[in-house]
Parts: sequence; structure tokens; C-alpha cells
Amino acid sequence: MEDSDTAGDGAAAQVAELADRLTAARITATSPRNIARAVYDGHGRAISLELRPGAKLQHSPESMSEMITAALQAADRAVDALRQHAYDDVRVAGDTIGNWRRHPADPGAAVAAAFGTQG
Amino acid sequence: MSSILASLPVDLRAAAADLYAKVIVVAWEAEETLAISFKILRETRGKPELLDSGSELLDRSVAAEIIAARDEIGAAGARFTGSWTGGGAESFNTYLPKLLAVIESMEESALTTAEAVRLFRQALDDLWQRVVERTWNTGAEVTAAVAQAGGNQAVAVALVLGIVDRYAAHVSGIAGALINLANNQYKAGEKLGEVAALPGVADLGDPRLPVPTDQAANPSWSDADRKDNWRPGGELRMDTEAMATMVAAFRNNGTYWGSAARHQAEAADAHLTPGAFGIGVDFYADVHAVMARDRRLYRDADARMDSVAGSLSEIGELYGMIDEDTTSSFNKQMDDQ
Repeated sequence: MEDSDTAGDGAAAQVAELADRLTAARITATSPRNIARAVYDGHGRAISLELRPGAKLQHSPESMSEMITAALQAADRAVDALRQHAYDDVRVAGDTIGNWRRHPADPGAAVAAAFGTQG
Repeated sequence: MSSILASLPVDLRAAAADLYAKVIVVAWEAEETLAISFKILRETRGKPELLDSGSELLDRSVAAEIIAARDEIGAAGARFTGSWTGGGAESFNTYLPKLLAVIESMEESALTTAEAVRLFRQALDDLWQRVVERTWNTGAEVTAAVAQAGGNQAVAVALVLGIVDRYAAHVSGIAGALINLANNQYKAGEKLGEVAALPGVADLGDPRLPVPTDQAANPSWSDADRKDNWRPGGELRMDTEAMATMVAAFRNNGTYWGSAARHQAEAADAHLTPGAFGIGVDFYADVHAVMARDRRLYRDADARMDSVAGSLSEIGELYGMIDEDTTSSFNKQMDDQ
């Protein structure tokens, strides 16, 4: 069992490390037909938005807007999923936060374990 | 909130303050939920130092007094047994070991009650460590959630409120489980159940000591009484000093029983209070039922010892009247009847 006095600090350290990894991460999302390509870092900050060469000659401004919006929305979803996954994996007291969320501790079981109940 | 935090046990206070500080900068709406949870936990903890001092009183004072009572009667009885022959002696000699066994069972009741209280205290300690750990972990979960939300305040608030709600549900669940602890289905309750049925001195009845036919305030002992009760056969003999020691042991016993009862009442009233047990109020009630029963047994034992001492004293006085110099003539008189 992790020392409870340091559990919070342990999480903070992991979160800080995770933040560095997310800063270095690159999430790329493309629009349909690969016309627009958005690149974000793991925090959801935009790094770049690229258009396929010649695309603006082949598509109307309205169509180009739709493609770019689609690329940005896909990137947002990907960033959210990455961040959720990354923070769920933060480990505190021998388990991940994601597991806590999925399987919350049963208070009755805690009392039973402490008191040695026979059920 | 600061007053609530200040009222918490030190170990939870640190974890609770950490959690509160992390939550409140993101979701002020959670303050009341946290405050309620912390108050529930404060009550859950009970007062372990009172459980310690109460169980120590039962161990070191109550049981010790009963042991002293038993030792004095046992020592006097060891000397007395065999020093008295005749009617009544046999009955008394049969009664004495049963009496000592009953006194021993009262010692065991005090010791077992103390042990049950200690088991309850240990269980509370165990549970408390889990609660404190859970509180630290919840603070860590908030840290991660805030980081996960990035700069999106709305997302952060929703995540943190969810975490606080789960924490509050966990705390409520623990309180509910404590309140609903089933009787005798946990270690401390099971241990206490071992003394649920306890024989008292009264259950032994009285030794069939010689008594005069006339039970008036100034009873007269007729020759027939003496013959029928004291000497159904064999020779009449008594070590009157051993008798005096035996009588004194029974009379002195009141001091021990009185002291045991006082210490036990002190343990019940000043140490093993409802608040000492936290939310586990049913166990408190069970402990007090056992202790009230035992105090009645102490009072009853005290009265019974006095009664036996009175009978023995009366017999001793009569034997004293016919001590060594007159025993042979007394026996002759009895034989002549």
C-alpha cells in the first residue's frame, strides 16, 4: 500500500510527467478525402492546419470550410480520448484512477473487511 | 469549513484539507457535500482513547478486584477445607469450588468484555485507515481530473463534482454499514456474545449450612438441631481459627465487589460512552447490557457472601462455645441423645 501521506504528491508528480508527455504528443486528424489535416498536441493545442495542395482549386469555399471543420472536430475528439485514457492510467495506491471510476470501492466491503463480518 | 477541518482527527484533517483545497478552487458547489461527509466521518471515528481507557479499567481494575476476591476466598477455603467435619461441612465444601468457579466466570466476563471493546476499537482503526487513504486518493483523483480538463473550466467542474459525489456516497455507505452491523456477526460482537449467558452466585443457591429450626431473630439451637444438622455421623471437629479466617474472607469480599462495581460503573459512564463507539451504537448498547448485568451480579455476590459469612459466623460462634476442651463432652452429649 502506498503511503497515504504521499498519495496526493504521487499523483501530482505523475500528472506533471503526463503533461510533459502530452505536450510532446501529436494528434493528427484529417477531413474526408484527406483535404484538411489538423495537428494538435496532447493538450489540445493546435500545432498546424494543412490543406492538400490544389484543394482550394477543386472545392468551393463552403466545401473547404466543411472539410476544415470536420478535421478540427475529429482532432478535438481524438485529443479528448487521448487525455481521458492518459489520466485514467494515473496510478494511486496500487490502482489506476480509471479502475476506480469503473469499479468504485464498495463501502460495505470496507466495513466488512475491517470488522471481520461473517456476512 | 475551517472549523470542521479543525475538529477532525489529525490524520483525516490532513487528507481532508488536501481534498478540500483541491476541490474548492474548481467547484465551490461541492463545499456543503464535503462538509457533510467530513462531519459523518468525524462521528464514525468515535473516541479510541476512551475505548482504550474503558477496556483497561475492565482489565486492570474490575477483573483484578474480582480476582482478589476469589483469591482471598480460595486461600481461606484451602485452609478451611478439612478443618471442619460434621453436618454442613460437606455441603459447604461442595459449595466452595462452585462458588470460586462462578466468581472466575465473572472475571472472564470482565476480561472478555474488555477484549470485545478492543476488537471493536481495532476494527474502527482498520476502517479509519481505509477512510483516510480513500480521502487522500480522492484528492489525487481531483488532481488528475483537473489536469485532464486542461483549461476547460466547465469540464473540470463536472469531473470534480462527480468525484466529490462518489466520495460522499462512499462515506454514507460506510456509515450505513456501521449502523447496520448485524449483532454477533462481526468479531467484536461475536466476542461479546461469549458472555451473554453467565451464571451468577445466586444460581448456585446457598450451601446447606446448619441452621436452627427456629429462624426467629434470636434463633435457638436445640440439641436436636445440632444433632440433625451438625453431626449426622462421625466426629464433630472444627479449627475455629480457620473458621474465623473463612468468615473474614467472606466479609472482606464486599470491599472487592464494591470496588469492582465502582470501577465498572466508571468504565461504563465515563469511558465507554456512546460517542466513544462512534456510529456503532448497537455494539455500545450490547456492551452496556452486559456490564449492567455484571454489576447486578457483583451486588448479588456481595450480598450472598455476607449471608454465607453470617451463617458461618454463627456456626463458628457455637463451635467456639464448645471448642477443644469441650468437644469431647459435646460429642458425648450428642451420642447420648
